[in-house]
Amino acid sequence: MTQKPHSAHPLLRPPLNSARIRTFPSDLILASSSFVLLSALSYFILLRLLGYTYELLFISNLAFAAIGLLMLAFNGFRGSTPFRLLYLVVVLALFEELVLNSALAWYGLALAFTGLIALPVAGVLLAGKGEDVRVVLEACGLLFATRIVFSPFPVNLLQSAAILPAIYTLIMSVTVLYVWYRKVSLTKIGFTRGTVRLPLQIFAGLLVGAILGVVEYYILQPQLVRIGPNIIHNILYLVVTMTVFVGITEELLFRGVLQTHMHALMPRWQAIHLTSLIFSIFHIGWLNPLEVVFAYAAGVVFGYLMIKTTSLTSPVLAHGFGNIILYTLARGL
Amino acid sequence: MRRSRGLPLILLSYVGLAGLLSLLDIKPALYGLSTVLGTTILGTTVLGTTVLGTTVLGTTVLGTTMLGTTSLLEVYASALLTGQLAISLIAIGMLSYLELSDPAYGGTKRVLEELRRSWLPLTALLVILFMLIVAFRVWDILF
Repeated sequence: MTQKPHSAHPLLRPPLNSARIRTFPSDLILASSSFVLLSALSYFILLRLLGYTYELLFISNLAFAAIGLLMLAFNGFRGSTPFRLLYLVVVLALFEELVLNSALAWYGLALAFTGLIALPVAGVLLAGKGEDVRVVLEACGLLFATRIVFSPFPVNLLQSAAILPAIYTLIMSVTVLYVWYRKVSLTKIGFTRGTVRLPLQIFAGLLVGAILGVVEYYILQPQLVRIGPNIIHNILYLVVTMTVFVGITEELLFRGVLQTHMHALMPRWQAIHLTSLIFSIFHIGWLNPLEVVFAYAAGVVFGYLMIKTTSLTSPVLAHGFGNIILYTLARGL
Repeated sequence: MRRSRGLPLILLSYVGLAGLLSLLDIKPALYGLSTVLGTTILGTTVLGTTVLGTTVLGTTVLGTTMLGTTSLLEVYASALLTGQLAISLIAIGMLSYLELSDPAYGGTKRVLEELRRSWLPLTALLVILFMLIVAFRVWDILF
């Protein structure tokens, strides 16, 4: 009986060159750790200079994105049109988030609409460069769609916790519709048992999630939240919302669709770095630059788990469980 | 996983669970913390109150140049209204484009057909959002 070679799996395809693959984990560790250190350092310097002001939020996130993009530019990120467009996607996302979280919120929404409409057009125009280029640009368009799904809801309804699953259902709907209609391979985006044993994936996911949840709690230091009348309902809500809605939706979009298709275009560490950079920029809404740096680091860990296991199981569990820990700690339990 | 069964099942379970969770009616739980892809819709962090919270960012630690003393709630209420108008107009535009670029009419360029396929999921989302806008408006009028 012939055994199916590992390289048959989309995430384990033959390397661009063997030396690059051999150095993948060290490339990733070196790049991500130096990026996190540089970003954190620039944040603390700016904090000293500016204090807790909006300028701090604006300039430190600007510096964060600039360092992230420069790291790519100085590490052989190729200069063809699709790659230049990915720089543009990062810049667009950055300004969209910064403006959305200010008094000029409408302009942020307008930038989100621009990305939503223009990126699929770019994907179609550059389809000749390969299927993966098109999917990456269309997936980036989907990211901006996550910003407009708030719009139909009245403001008073948005203040209810029950709205969160509804919003994630809308995001999931458009993602599933996209995956189904554009015939994106489910195996490629991680809907598979993976190449690592399932119990190990679950253990890794929960362990990583627990660590990240505690770290995130100390970064955000959220205030204590009120506990509902029925603790069982609250726990059920927390577990289902954070794992099913937040975990699956965000991981499917970022690690499943975006990262795996970027991985087909560039070395693994660059795919993880760029996906995590975009992922972290979408966390600017917390108005805490350190949270953005943390989200990048968490994105790198989720991305590594995805590549290592070729399945979404552990990134979803890590993401969901991390959020459960964060909210549980915030409740003072 | 077979696509024909897997994807509809995922979507159905999402809709079912979202409905179930809304029935639980646990409004006070998590008050102050929920985020959607990082955009805090309710709540506070150590650095200040965020997107759709009711407090004023200008009075929090992250005092502001861009925001002044404007209430975030007012800012977002106004932005959401403009967003609703934009969703409606873009949905109409995209639906018109889908109709006009229908290959059944013949003579459509390949790029335009491809763009039609690329925009279709987004158009579906915009139509759903438009229906929600209408539903909330009707609800507002009736109740």
